Amino acid sequence: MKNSLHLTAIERKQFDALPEDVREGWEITDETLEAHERPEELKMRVLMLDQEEPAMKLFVEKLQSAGSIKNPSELAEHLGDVPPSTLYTIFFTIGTRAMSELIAAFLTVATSDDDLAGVAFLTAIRHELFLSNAEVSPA
Amino acid sequence: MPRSHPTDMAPLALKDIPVEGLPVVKDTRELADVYGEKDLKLVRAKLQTNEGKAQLLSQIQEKNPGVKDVEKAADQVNLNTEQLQKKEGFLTRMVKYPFRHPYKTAAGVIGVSAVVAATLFGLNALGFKLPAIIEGALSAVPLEKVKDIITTIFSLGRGTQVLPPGADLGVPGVTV
Repeated sequence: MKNSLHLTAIERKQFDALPEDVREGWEITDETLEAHERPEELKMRVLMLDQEEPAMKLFVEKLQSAGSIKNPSELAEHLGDVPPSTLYTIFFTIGTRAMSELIAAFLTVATSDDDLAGVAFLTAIRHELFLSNAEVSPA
Repeated sequence: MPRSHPTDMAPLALKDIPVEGLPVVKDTRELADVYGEKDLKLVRAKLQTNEGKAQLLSQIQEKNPGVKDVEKAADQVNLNTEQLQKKEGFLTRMVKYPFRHPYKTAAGVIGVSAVVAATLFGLNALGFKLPAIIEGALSAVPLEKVKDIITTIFSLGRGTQVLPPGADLGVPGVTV
């Protein structure tokens, strides 16, 4: 995976405030897209979320059985059987603004390359969401 | 009768979603059952012309006799199919993206993000308790902000039985 983060101007300032050894090796691509969802779009997405769909049910079951997990990495491993498309569906449903809050939060506390790899992944998903939002208009 | 031109459509008010008598289509496989038309692009195309829209609405009324307000129904079809198209486009993009499995690529952040997202949707109310260590990681996330966005939308949809019985938005340590 390329060491690249798609960051807005504000997020770039957060990144610049990280220690140099954490920032080292990472490229920044400006996130200039702003195709956020309209409120009615987000409401429709919530209604479209199918909690009875087998992969979504598996995801919920995994969460229900995660009580003894000791750290975030173990949690990720525990969730490993859940298809990526389920995760993407959840991110699609919460939308770009909520994703931006997650990105800002994790960017503030990143202390390692692994953390920034996670942030990079979130910024890439948000970028693809922006592109998908921009290419379809109401009929 | 449909409005004279599709561009006359005003956005559907949040309180009117979902429109009475018209189910939300969660997946393109449900299109034929709800709209009498299985092709998403064709449904979208029909909304663009008066003739197509009238034909589509007629099919929809036949499939869903409980629909009272056809104009609102048309607005919902527009919004619903717009989101189906965006979702399809997004998931296609993600399949093509050169990622490894997300949990293996960036385990901690993605795992925690998934939990945050799921928690915001009230899935924790099904019995899931956040492990203490994860709560610590979550303390960095401004959950109130994220939750505000979701709660606003969700509370408006609460009457629609989106959530399983007894489910509620709840984030440990956060009071709204």
